[in-house]
Amino acid sequence: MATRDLALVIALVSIPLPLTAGTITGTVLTKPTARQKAPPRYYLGPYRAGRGASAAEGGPQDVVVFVEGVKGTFAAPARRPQLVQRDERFNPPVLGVQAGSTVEFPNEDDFYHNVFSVVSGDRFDLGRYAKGKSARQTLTKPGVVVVRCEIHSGMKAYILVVPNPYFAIPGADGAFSIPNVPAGTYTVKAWHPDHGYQEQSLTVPASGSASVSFAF
Amino acid sequence: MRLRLIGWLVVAALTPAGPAAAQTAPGAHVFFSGTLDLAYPFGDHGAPEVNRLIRGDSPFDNVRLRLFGDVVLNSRWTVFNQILIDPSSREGVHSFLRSYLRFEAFKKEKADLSLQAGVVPTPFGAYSPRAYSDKNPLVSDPLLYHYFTTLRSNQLPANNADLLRHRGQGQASDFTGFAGGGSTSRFNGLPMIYDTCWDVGLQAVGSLGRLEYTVGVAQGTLSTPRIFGGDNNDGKQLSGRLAFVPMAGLVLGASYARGPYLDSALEASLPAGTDVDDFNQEIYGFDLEYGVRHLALYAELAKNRWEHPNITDGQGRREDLETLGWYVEGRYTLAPGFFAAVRYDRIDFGEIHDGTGTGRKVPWNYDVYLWEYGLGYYLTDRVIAKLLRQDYKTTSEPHKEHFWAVQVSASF
Repeated sequence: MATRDLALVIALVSIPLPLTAGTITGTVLTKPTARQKAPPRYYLGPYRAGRGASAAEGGPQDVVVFVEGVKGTFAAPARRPQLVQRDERFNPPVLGVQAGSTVEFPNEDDFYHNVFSVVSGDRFDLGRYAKGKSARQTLTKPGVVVVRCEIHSGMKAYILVVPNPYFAIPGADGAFSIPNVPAGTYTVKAWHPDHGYQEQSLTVPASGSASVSFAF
Repeated sequence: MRLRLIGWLVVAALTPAGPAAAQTAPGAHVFFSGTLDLAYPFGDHGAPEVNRLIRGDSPFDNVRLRLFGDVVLNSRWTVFNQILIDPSSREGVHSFLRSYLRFEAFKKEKADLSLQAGVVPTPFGAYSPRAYSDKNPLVSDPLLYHYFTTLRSNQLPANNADLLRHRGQGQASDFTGFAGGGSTSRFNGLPMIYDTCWDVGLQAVGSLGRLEYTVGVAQGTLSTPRIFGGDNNDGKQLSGRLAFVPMAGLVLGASYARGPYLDSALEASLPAGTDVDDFNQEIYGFDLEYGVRHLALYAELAKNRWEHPNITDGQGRREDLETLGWYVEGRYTLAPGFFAAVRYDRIDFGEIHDGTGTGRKVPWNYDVYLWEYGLGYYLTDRVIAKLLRQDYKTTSEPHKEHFWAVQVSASF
């Protein structure tokens, strides 16, 4: 989460701040779910599939909240968000990035991964590379990018590419904050990989904050 | 304890109760998944017989559905179930059931051990985990994992000449006619390894550092796996595989298996003083997997021999029936979601005396060669479309076939 928070902060400070801007705050509630991983049907040792990882908890951090309809041109952020391959999982399992961002895919496992995506958005295949190496992909088209590993079929992650820098991923407690949003009335959307989109209309004041909540 | 009993216990007791019961058990999780394959071979006669499997089905059949129901009982116990449904199968809609139990005995930083019992995966070579349409960049299986020779486990050729008279007929489902005794039912010949059908057995699998191992005992052999028909003799197959992973992307493996393969019903037809358990299938092999960037390479070689009571050198000394099977396969990603794949595949048959008393030796079956190559495209991350061509020939005079096929494979 720290990496994503940092990326978001850097992305936000890199854009010119409007003269009148407010903050969107809110909470996201999700039902607690254990993100179980299907067992490997064939034994593959630690140098091909790792020692296995315990089930991860799904929660508010699986949600991306973003603002739609903000006018303007937004430069691609210099900071590169990361989707790490570790313990035969993608971490984080859900990532939000601004269109034009270049995402890094470092491999921290002792074995190869082959990251690819063929679902909508930008199709890419990063090939096989070993521990300590990384590959990158620039994502230009807003939408959902489903990321998989060609070698380990159980690995899956989602990247939601949004058109502007006004987005957030909630913390573990579900709270989120999107600062410096130009004043105006917008559609605020929340997206969850299993439950799709929810949206609400919200007026952002010239100063201060407006609040919105989502429940999946 | 009889392996057959273990198999029945696992299959009968765990499978029917599996999904529904496990979902209510605390901590248990059931994972349902599957693959649906739609294929269409172009040509007047469909896919050549070389692709035909024991139940009359083929990977090129129009519809094949594989269903998985894997039950994680807790952190140590897992039950794996899968079934193949193929309406083109001679025996109706379903084909082989695979079901086994895995117990994780221990897992430490540098070593781990699990035990598997039931209808367990083929313990030889490296192809079995890739024998699914979402893993196989092509459609067929390598010849050494399914091609039917003219040898049978339940019928004996009377002598060398009798065996040689039937060369090339093993692939036909109505193959029969040896004069040396045994069953007169029509059936395929024996493959070197029959991965489509797994065997009832026990296995220990695990790793030690960069070594991975599998050792097992099974009631049949690699060429005669036994499930519901029960064991066909009193002997058991011992098998083992050792793989070394020297670096990421490279796996080097060696496998061995040995066990009696003849059916007990042949006892009365055997030479005096011999028993069906005296005649073994023995097979060893090597496999290689290498991947870098957008390239994946696989290769396997297996040397096999069947001991046989009636095949001799004319001087009374027995001759083994030998085969050498190998393939090389490559897959290269040309563009995101778009790949090319090719496999060169063959089986060479060892020579035996031709039975004329001249000392002349000939291969005991026709050698087979197969090229399969094509393109694949991911329509979505779960749907792959493949277009391929297969060229097949044998050393029989003249036997050469080729055909084109498309397959759309969906995983769910």
